[in-house]
Amino acid sequence: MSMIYDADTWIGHWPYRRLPHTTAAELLRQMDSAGIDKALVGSLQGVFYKDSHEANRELVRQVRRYRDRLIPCAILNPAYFGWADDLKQCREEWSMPVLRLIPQYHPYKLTDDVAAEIVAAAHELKMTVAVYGRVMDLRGRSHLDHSRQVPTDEIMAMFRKFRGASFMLLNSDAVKPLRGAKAPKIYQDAAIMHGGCGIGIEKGLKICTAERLMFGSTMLLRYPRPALLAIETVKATKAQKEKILYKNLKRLIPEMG
Amino acid sequence: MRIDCHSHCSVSVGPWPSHHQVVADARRLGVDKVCCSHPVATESADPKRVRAANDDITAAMRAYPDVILGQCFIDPGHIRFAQDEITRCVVDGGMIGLKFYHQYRMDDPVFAPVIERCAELGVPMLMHAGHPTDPAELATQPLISRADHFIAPARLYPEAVFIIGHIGGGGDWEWQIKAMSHATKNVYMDTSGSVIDAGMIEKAVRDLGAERLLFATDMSTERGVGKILDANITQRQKEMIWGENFQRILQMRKI
Repeated sequence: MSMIYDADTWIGHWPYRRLPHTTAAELLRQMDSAGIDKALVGSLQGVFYKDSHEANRELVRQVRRYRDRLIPCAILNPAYFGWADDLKQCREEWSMPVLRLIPQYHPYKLTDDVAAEIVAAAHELKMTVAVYGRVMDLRGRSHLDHSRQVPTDEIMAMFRKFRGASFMLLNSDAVKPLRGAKAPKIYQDAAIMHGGCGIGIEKGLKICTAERLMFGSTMLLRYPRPALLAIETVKATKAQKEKILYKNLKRLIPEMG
Repeated sequence: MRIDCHSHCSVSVGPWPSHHQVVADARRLGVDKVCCSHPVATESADPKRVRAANDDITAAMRAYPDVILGQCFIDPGHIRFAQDEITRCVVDGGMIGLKFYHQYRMDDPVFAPVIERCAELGVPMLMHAGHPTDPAELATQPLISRADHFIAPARLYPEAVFIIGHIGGGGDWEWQIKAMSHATKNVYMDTSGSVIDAGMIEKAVRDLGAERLLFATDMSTERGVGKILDANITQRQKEMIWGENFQRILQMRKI
């Protein structure tokens, strides 16, 4: 049985729907039930608080007892005052290895200068930047949810600005790797690469390759088993599946241990 | 026994996945039987295309008689043709029920003769349904049936069996559960669709009862299977959803 590392989990509340589980302890119970060893975790409050950094502070407190399995990710809004100091605190004081950017809900575009500035600062601090293809399926959105869909072109335009960097693209359709010796490396999770009678994950594996695909569940927002089933049953070698299930994420984020 | 009560396939005329792919996928994930239809998703479904689509499903049933159960697609706007197709495909051709798309809402009187016929035959009717709240999504299918559109016809025809398609089809599934809880017991909901929000199945079981839920994938097989496996409900409730409830519906057929 392979180790399983999850690139894409959340704790906290979603403002438009009651979630059955919200805490770090509950996330661990769900991980145990699905056989997941470790996870990168973000706070949903970081998406919705005006000052996202308050959610980072809460998150560190919430996962303190579980740091051997839950690795906290920072969420910051680069259009909000003081993000540079907040980012430093996340990395230097709280050892957060990943910065999640959520332009779906925060007021900027990835092509704006502020986005480039926070990504450059994160790289300076040896953090990996994660971008979401989407946070939530908007077909059933609340009337209060005014988030925008972020086009893939916008995401790729931001990636292209950082030659030699590695990025995480989460909860997204598969995108073709960028070409060139210094092209940024894009690691994607398979969170929504299923469906189509098995065609989704086959296509995801073909496009991303086993070197860049990772397991990501999106729990506690969603059920974890579909993404696991997709990886467990896709036609791939044992070595390829191990890369997808944990080795790629471990290589990208050494703090995963 | 796991019976997927809502899927699609093609043998020769697209756009659905091939019948080989659907069967291989079912076997990959431990699904025993798959109900397949071939809906024509245009505003008004041309009878020639509908006939070809149903012929396609007949061919799939012949290729995999132990796995594929056919569902006959009709557009009630072409009522005489629709009745002939029910005779050809369901009465004579062995299909197990009907499939409707978004040409009309479920509470449109145009459905009356079709519902009466299905009640006579004892065969279930599966309707493409959902409550897309995103205006752009709703604009693509303005006549999609919400769960509340099933309440009046289900009360009017208590002998008929209605299935609300894909709880996770992309829309406000909490609305769908709440609305269905006001419908009579001859209305069921299938669990298919790409949306796998945590708590969806638990809430449906709590508010509707496991006896009114039917396992399905609508081609999102990992998601369809995975959400039932993950749901925090009893094994007994899962068995009912996996197949017992649909087997009971199939036993109600009078042909």
